[in-house]
Amino acid sequence: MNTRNPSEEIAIQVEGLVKRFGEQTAVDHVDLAVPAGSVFGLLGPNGAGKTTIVRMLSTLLRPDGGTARVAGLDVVGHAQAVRRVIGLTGQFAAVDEALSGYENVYMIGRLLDMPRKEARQRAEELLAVFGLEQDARKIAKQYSGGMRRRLDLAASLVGRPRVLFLDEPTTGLDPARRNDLWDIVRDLADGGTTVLLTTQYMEEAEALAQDIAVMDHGHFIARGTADELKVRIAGRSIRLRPVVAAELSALREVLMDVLGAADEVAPGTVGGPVSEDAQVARLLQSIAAQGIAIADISTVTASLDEVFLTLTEKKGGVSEKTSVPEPTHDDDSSALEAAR
Amino acid sequence: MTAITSTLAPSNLSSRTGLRDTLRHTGALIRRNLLSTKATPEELLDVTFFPIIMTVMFTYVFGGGLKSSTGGDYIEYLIPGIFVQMLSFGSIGVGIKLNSDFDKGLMDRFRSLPIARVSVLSAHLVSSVLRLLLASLITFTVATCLGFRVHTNVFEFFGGIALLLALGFGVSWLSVYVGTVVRSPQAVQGVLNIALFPLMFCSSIFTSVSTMPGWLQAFAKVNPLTTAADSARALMVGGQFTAGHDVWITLAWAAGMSIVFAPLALRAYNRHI
Repeated sequence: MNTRNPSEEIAIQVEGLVKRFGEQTAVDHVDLAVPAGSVFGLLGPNGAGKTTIVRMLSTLLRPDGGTARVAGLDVVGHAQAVRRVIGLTGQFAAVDEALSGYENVYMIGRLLDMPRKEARQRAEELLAVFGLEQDARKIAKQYSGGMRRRLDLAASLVGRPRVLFLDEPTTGLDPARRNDLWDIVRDLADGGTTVLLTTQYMEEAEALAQDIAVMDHGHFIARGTADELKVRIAGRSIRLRPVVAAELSALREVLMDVLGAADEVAPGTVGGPVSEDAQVARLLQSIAAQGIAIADISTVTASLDEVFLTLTEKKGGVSEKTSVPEPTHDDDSSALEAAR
Repeated sequence: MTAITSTLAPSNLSSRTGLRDTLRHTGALIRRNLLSTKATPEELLDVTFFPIIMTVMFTYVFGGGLKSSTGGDYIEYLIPGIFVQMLSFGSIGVGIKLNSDFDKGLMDRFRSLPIARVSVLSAHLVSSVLRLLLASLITFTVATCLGFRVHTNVFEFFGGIALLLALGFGVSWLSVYVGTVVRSPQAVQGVLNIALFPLMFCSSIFTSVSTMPGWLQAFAKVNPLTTAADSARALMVGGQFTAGHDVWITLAWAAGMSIVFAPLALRAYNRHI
């Protein structure tokens, strides 16, 4: 299991997954395929349905529709078998505060049927990895928030899970601790563990996940790598500053003409969205034809935060159909389809 | 870092957890509960300090006034009742513990492990009985210091403790049920206190039922805490205190509460998200 073959083995396979709570549909026909050994980021605001997906995949919640397989095992039909190969770190550190750090991890080892000696060794090993060996005998109540998080993560790794679910693992951690946790996640993925991570921070998804799904109101509203999302969904923009300020409005006209939209993005600078490369060439030709002298020109790629805001605002504001611009190619059209 | 995942868990398709495994898991969870009690002994206050306060208060504050109705040495009348009070109120603890496992997300961790769900519940029940046995020992020691003496033989005395534990076990199922359906550990305490306080005061625990007004006597006589206290008095002190059918009635109450509340509790527990 040390070798990675991301393209061949699918660690998490989800088809048409649905979960309803009364009238509300928390997860609405979601499809997902996560290759083994990769990190998948589920990005979305509070209440988007991220945690509900994690709870279904980790056998805590029964789906109302669709199928989900983890490590090839059905989460409903083979729940107990799924539990043997997963690790779960929830939003709130699930540690017993009255127990020492060591006893918390040791208990999980025993519950995973490890003999006493092995459970002891495993606990010590993991506490050392997470820098908790100094405080191993202190009760967890005396731990700081960051220490509890690490203890929680250590507890979820006792059984060497093949698939690890991390539900907003860095919420409330300071930047240094957050970076430590990111390193751990990367190491786990290098070791062949598949990680499904939920987060509200684009930065986190971008730093860790090969593949990202943006989620809102129970749907996937976009899917791809961080770069793909940035370029394809929110697009690039071009900014131009004329030498003569008086020519600003003429320049703006040209942008309106070629790009379909233009705005004064900064004093003396106009900008507009670029959806395809050919537009840039056409724009420059038009500008030359008009005889406008350009002092400065730049293209800007949207930050993932902007992408996220664009997507979720669109979703939240208008009806179901106005989701995202049509992607030009490839596989995530199915995810978009599911989103509609 | 390679330590974290040197070899990943193998797949194992079997979906059942064997009895032997469940017993071992329960053992690991009992150990957890006992360590938790050891780390926070203040949890035991309700079954140690509270009975002691009640004993001292009723013996020295009200005892003088109550003595005339109960006859003989008031502390010999009171202590078996204190055991009843402790073992019934002590069973509230199991519901609180269970509720806080749900509340703190620990139950999610346990449920994501390949163990039978029931092992968490059974570990709490067993730990509760162990805590109550410890509390019984403490109460007995304090009572002895205050002048309480057992006048029956050792079998009868432990028979009395066992009878009260059986009743406590019945109350535990009620406690588990409440612990599974209400929202917070404090609410478990609140709901069960409301249920148990009237039962405690309208019983023969502190004073003879014959001193109560007629309409209250009707309630007090069928109150399981009355039959339990009368049985305990007969089994621990004997002499003027006789039990008659009270032992059987108390056992019937214990069994009845388990029969009614165990299925309700198990159903609520298995449905709880």
